[in-house]
Amino acid sequence: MNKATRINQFGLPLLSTLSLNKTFKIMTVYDLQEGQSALIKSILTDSYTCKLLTLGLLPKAKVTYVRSAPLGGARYLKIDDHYVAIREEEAKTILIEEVVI
Amino acid sequence: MPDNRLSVALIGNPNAGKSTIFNLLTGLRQHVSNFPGITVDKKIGVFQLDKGEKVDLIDLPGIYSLFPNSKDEKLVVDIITDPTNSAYPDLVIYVADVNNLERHLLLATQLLDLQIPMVIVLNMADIAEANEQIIDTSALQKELEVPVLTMSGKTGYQIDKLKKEIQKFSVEDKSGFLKSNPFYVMTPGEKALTDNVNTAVGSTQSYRSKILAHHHEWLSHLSAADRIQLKSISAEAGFDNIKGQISETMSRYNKFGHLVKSTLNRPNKSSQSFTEKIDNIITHKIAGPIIFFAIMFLMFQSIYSWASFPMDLIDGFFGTAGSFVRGVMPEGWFTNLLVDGVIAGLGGILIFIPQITILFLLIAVLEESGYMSRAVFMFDGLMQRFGLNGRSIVALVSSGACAIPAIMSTRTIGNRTERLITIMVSPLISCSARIPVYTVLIGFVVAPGSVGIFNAQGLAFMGLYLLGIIASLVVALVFKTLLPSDEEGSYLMMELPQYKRPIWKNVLLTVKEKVQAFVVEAGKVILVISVVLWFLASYGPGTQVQDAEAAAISMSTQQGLEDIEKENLIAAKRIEASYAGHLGKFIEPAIEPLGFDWKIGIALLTSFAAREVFVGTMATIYSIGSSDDETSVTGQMLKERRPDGRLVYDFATSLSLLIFYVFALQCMSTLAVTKRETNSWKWPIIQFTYMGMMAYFGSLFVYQIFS
Repeated sequence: MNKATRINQFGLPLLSTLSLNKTFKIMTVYDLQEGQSALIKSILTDSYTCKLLTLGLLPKAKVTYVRSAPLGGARYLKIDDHYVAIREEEAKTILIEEVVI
Repeated sequence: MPDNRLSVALIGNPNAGKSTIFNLLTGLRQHVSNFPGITVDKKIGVFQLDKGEKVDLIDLPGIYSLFPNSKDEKLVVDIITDPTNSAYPDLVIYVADVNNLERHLLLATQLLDLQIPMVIVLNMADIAEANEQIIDTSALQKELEVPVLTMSGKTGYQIDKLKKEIQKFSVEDKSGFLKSNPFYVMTPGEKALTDNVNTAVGSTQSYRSKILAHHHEWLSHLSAADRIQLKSISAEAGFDNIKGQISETMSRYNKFGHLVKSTLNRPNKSSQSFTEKIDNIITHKIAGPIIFFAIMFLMFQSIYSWASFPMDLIDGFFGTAGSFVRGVMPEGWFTNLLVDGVIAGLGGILIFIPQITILFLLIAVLEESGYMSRAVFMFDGLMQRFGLNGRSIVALVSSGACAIPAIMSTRTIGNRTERLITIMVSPLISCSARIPVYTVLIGFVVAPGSVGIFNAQGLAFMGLYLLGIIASLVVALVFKTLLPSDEEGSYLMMELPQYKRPIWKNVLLTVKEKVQAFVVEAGKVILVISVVLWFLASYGPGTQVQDAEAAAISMSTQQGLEDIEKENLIAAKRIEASYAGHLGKFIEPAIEPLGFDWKIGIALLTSFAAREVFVGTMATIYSIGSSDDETSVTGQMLKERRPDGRLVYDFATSLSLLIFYVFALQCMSTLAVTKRETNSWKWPIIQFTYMGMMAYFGSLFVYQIFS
C-alpha cells in the first residue's frame, strides 16, 4: 500500500486507494495493457459501483483498453460495442478474468 | 399551465435523443425559464394532438437510473418520486436509443415499477436500419405491458404513431400504459423494509418506498420528521444503501437480458467502428490536445473574421436610423432621448449579435457532435491537478459564450468541492458579453493587419481569452489549497457517445434560444440604463449645466472659435456639469492610477449591472457630448482627448481597461446564478470580491508599467 488508505462510509478501506494488484494477485482493468481485452468477472463494491453498472460495465461484458488520456489518469475503454472513459482508480475496482486478444 | 391539460415528460438516458424528439414535437412552441443549457434546466413546450388538444411537454435532464450521483440526475429523481410536484407528469415518454438497448432499458423498468404511465420509444431506428438491425418490439411490449414503438427523432419516422398513443392515453383507460406487477422482485428483507416505510409515509407504493429508503438523506420533498423515521427504519432493517442499489441493478439487468436479444437481431459488426476510427486521431495522445487547441483557436478567429461584414451592416443601419429619426422628428428633449439614449445604446449592443451567434453556434455543434465528452476524457487528469473535474471543461468552454449556462452545467459534477471551484472560476473565462468591449478597445491597442496568415486583432483577442483561461486555472489552484476536499464523490465514469452528424434543427433551436435570451435580457438592462444615463448626462444639479453652457459660449467667443469647435466645447462642458459628470468625478481619484478618467468611470459604474453596457454607455456619453454626425462609438472615442491634450485611449489606458474587463465580475445574472447554485450568499460575494481585486490591481499594474 504505497498510497494513504482512506476509509469509506462503511468504515472499510476505500478500495480505490488499496494497491490491490500487489496485495492480492487479482487482475483488474487497471492491469490491462493498451490494446488488450478481457471479460469482466465482477466489480468491487464502492460508492460509485452502480454508476459503472449503468454504463454497461457488467459481469461477462468484454472490455478493451483502447488508450490512455494524453495527460494520463483516464482510460478510454470499449465495452462490448460502446465506449466509456473512466479513471485509473475506477479501473482498479473492475475485476477481470482471462485476457483475450 | 392549465390544470386540465395533459402533462407529458420526456425521460431517458443521456444521449438517447430526447432533445431531438422534444424539438420534433414542439418545434418553436417551446421556452425555458431563465438562461438554459441544452439539458440543464426544465425545458417546457406545447404540442397538439390530431384533434387539437394541447399537451404540455417537459424535457428532463438525462439520467441513467434512479440511483443518481450528480445534482441534475438527483433533480429528476426528486420530481419523479413526488406525485405532488408541479412537474410530475401524467405520462412519461421513455426515450431509449435502440442501438444501446441493453443499458437504456434499466431506467424504464425502474420507472414502470414506480407505477408511472409510460410509452416506450425506441429511438434512432434510422441508425439501426443503416446497420442492418432488425427490431421486433413484440416481446418487449408483452413483458413490459406498455406501448413500445420504434422511432426516429431525426427523420420524424413514426411521430404520428407516438401522438396517437398519447391521444389514446388521454381518452382511454390508463391501465394500458401501466405494468400490472413489478418488474423487480424484492427480497424478503426489502419487502419487510418497504412495508415499514409504506406505513411511515402513508403509501401503498412499495417500490417508491424503496427509493425513499435509498435516498432519504437528500430527497427534498421529505419532511424532517420523515427523514428521521426513514433513517431509523433503514438502520433497524440493516439496509445497506449501496449494496441494495447494486443488487437491484444486477437483478434487473439479468431479467431483461433475454428481452434485448429477442428484440434485436444484430448482424456481425465490423471490427472497428466509425467512431473508433475518428477517436484514434481525435483522442490521440499527441494529436488530441493539438486538435483541441486548434479548434478553440479557429473558433475565435472565425468569430472575428466572419462577423465583420454583418456587423458593418448593423452599424450602418443604426447610423441611418438615428439620422432618419432626427430628421423626421421635431427637435426637442424627446428626440434627443430617442436618438442619443435609446438608439445609440441599443445599436451599441445589437451590433454584437453576429459574433455571439457564431460563438453559440460553434459551441452547440461541439456539444451535439459528441466532441465535448472527448475533451472531458482528455483533460480529466489535468483538471484534477487544478482541483477541477474533467467535466469542468464543458463549463469552461461554455463560459466562452456565457457564464450562466456554464455554471448551470456544473450540475453534472458529482463532487461538491470540484463543482464549487468550477463555479467560482467560470466567470474568469471571457464570455460573449466581453466581446463588445474587447472589440472596441483592441482597435486602440493593436493596429489592423495580419501576422502571417492570421488576423492581428484576432490574435490579440485570443490573447485576452488565454489570459482568462490561465487566470481561471491559477485561481482554481488557490481554491483547491484553501477548500477542504470532498474526495468521496470524485469520479470520471462517462459515456463516450457515438459521433453523430449534428442535427441542424437542434443546433439552430439552441442558438436561437440563447441569442434571444441575450438580446432580450441584455436589451432590457441596456434600454433602462441608456435612458437613465441620458437623463444623468443631460441634466445637472440646479442651473449648473446652463451655467457651464453660458461659460463655454463666452469662452469660445473670446477665443474666436469656429462653429464646430464651439459646439464641441459646449457639449463637453455640459456633460462635465451634469449628474453623470459629478458621479464620474466622484470616483475619478480611485481609478486615476489605472489611467481612467471620469467618463470611463461612468461606464465602469453602469457596467456593474452587465459588462456589455460599457459600449452602450460610451455611445450615449459621446453622442450627447458631440455635435457631429459621427455614429460609431470607436470614431468618437478615438478623437477623445484629456485636458492636457493627450489622447484618452492611448495604449496604456486601453490595455489597462481591457485587463479590467478580463477580470472584473460585472454581471448581476452571474452573481444571481452562483447564489442559486451554491445556495448561499457567501460564494457570490467571495466571487465578486476576488475578481474585483484582480481587476483593480491587474489594471493598476499594467497602466503603471506602460504609461
